[in-house]
Amino acid sequence: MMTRVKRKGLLVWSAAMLLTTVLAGCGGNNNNSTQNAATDAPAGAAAHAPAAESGKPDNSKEVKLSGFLLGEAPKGMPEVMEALNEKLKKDINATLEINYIGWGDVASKYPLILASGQDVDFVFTADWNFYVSESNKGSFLEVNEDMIKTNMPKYHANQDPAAYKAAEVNGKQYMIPTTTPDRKVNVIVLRKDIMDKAGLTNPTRISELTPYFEAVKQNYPDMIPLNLDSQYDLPTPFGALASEKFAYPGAPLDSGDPSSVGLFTDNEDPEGKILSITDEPVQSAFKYAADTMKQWYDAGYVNKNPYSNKVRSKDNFIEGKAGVAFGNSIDIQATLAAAADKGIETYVMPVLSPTGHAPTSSWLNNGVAIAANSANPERALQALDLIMQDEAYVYLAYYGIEGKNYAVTADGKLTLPEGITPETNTYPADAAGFWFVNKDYFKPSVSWTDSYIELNNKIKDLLAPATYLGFSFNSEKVKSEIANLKNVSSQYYLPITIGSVKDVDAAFATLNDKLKAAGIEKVRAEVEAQTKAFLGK
Amino acid sequence: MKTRPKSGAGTLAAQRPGSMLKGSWFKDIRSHWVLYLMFAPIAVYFIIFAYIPMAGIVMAFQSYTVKGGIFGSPWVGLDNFSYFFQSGKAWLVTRNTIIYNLAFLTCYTVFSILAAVVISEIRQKWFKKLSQTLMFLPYFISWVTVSAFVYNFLNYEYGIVNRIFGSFQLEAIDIYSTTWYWYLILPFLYVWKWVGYGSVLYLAAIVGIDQEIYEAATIDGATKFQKITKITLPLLKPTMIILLLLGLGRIMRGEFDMFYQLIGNNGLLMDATDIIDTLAFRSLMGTADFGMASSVGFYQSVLTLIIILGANWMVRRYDKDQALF
Repeated sequence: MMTRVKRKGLLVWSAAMLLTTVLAGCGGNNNNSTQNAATDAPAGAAAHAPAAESGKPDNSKEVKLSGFLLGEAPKGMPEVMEALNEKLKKDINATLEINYIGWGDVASKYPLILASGQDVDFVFTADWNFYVSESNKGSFLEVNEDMIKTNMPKYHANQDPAAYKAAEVNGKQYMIPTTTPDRKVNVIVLRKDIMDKAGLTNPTRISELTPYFEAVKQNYPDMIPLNLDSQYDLPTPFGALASEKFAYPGAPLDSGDPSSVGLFTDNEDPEGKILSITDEPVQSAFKYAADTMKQWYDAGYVNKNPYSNKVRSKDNFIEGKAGVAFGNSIDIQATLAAAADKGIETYVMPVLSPTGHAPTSSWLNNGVAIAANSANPERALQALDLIMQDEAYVYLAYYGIEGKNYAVTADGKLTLPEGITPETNTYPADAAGFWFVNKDYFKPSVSWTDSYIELNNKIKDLLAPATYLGFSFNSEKVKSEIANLKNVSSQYYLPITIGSVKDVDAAFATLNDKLKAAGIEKVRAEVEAQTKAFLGK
Repeated sequence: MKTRPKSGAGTLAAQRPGSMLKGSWFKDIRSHWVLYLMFAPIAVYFIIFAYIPMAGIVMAFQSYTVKGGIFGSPWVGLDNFSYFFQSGKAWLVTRNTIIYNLAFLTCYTVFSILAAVVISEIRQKWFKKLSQTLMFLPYFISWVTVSAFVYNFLNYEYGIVNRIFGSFQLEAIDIYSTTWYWYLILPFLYVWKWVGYGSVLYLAAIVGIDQEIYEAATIDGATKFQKITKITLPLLKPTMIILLLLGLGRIMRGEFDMFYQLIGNNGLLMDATDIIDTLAFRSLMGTADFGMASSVGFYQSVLTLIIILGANWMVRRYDKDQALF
């Protein structure tokens, strides 16, 4: 789930200007941030001094660093890099080159770049992006708290030590996780005009939407109520339905993809029992979700070929081709703004568990790792410290050049400079892939709509830590079984989630047989061993 | 596939009859050094890109680590192979791969020859060029683009096909969840994409046929149809056999892009359209395990070797001169 949220979400997100995670005012880290801001920008040497007097790194030799991020370089990248390198040269006597791995190539290129021994110092990583599997392969350099303390003093001051523990694979830390995990919930966006026709005023659950879908079908011949895409949307309505019955995973049991191996947990079960599709409450929740999806599919509310549709519902929503948009509270902002532009009034409905909660994102959701072959790991860590935690660097990397890519209004909100529109901005916020920076520095944007601000204010109360927050499953010992389970779920589980199967019970029976044959019990034993160890900590 | 020195066949062999048999190899090099020089870049290419990488096969038997690299990673024996054979789909995907590729190869050969013969018989020059260009065009379109076309043609809700059906009051058809359509659509698209390319190869062979034979046939009163069946087709046979044998070399792989882009993760079509490559890709996408991926590649290579040896053996029995080796 998280995989899709991130990968697709952030990609499309680049279209939006100036949007951020939840604003300041969320406790904890604020003290530190202000302190850092106070010690002030040309930071580098001065700020390092107190923390690292004794083991102060020797930066006398100039080095060239190379980093890899996901996505593609925005047009304005060269200018931003020039400004960034000027600062880096002054502060730590280093220059940086950023390369990108395109979204379509991540699965093939990411491991290759790390394995090929080419010139890489740091690379983006996350639990949804091969962190555990690459750690097992030894692609990353092990980092320890001493290294971080010496080279990344600002980061060290801002980070919760629990994050280091969460990043451990086989007892070793390879990732430098973000200090500010995303605060977001999955949302469903509806159109007010259709809600009026359907007589809905205040729906809170996806299962209440049948009249809405019918209204779409009656009044908008070119619109498909649930126009799902092959990647993100496909299992989303099913997941939202299952969430009505138990806290369906949104936080990862495994590297972001628990559904793909057929093992689940109730996020709000403190014992964290590992469940398969034949255990309660999963079985009845899935049965309910599958039956509902099948009714909707048979009634023509779901597009017949989501596997081949590559356009996400939130994009088709703006074009008037989808009745419902799926996304998360961060990436949906662009959709809401575009809809407002077209005069579509929207209604945002968060997807919550039966107790009204959504799981917190893990630290591992965004992070960086040092490549095992890095020639200058220490300097890379220093550069990352500045990019992640120094306010001036954060703004430069995330928003671009002030006055050219962004501006700050008198009341402290972010906006676009005079004469720049979202289309002509050469460095849209978030687009350059620096997702691991300290997001507490971010300011609210003037383009936020009231309903979005309202939702954002609520999010803090909606989020609840999942039992397995910070746990990541190491599949090394059962990788043959995992490979087969992934295959089984694409073939037998996904059709159930869109409701296209002829007979729901028979489809579940087949799925269960195939999962058994593919070795789910062995994987379950391994997951249980690891989760037990995790909870025991 | 690209360049086999012998596939330029006829002409080259004719210039140096039996030279390999007489005298030593060095003597041969000295007397034909120009030819060897022309061959050298190709030899180097294949040594670098085909022979040296073969050593990487060891990865199929290792648990790859970045530190150990290709030759220093720990040995795990046949563990990497277990997932493929435990999947319960090994036989299914192997069969699908072979059947699809045989169908592709057959259709491709038949239609390429047909197109080449027709084009060679067209006298109108502009029409000849135009039709050749139009046939060749799909060769340059990637499968990603094709899949977008196909989706817009065939999808249930607003695909062109169903729109047309709708305007005739016919019931809409759900192509993306019915397997049998794909047994026709896939070979059709394959031929559509490759026939331009294939016809050029055969056309080149037709142009190379001695015109005197046709003239003699015309004097003897042969009809156009007789000339095609009695002269053109028999003389195309050597080219056809070589191209078929080369095509067999790709039979265990072949058109991953096509299957992946057109079908994707569509569970309803999967049993009918899963090939070895798509199965491996789907299973290993999330793990990026080089060892397990290599094991599938190794399996494909071994099967390919067996198929090529077998086919070549059959060709040899039929006509020794036309075999590859």
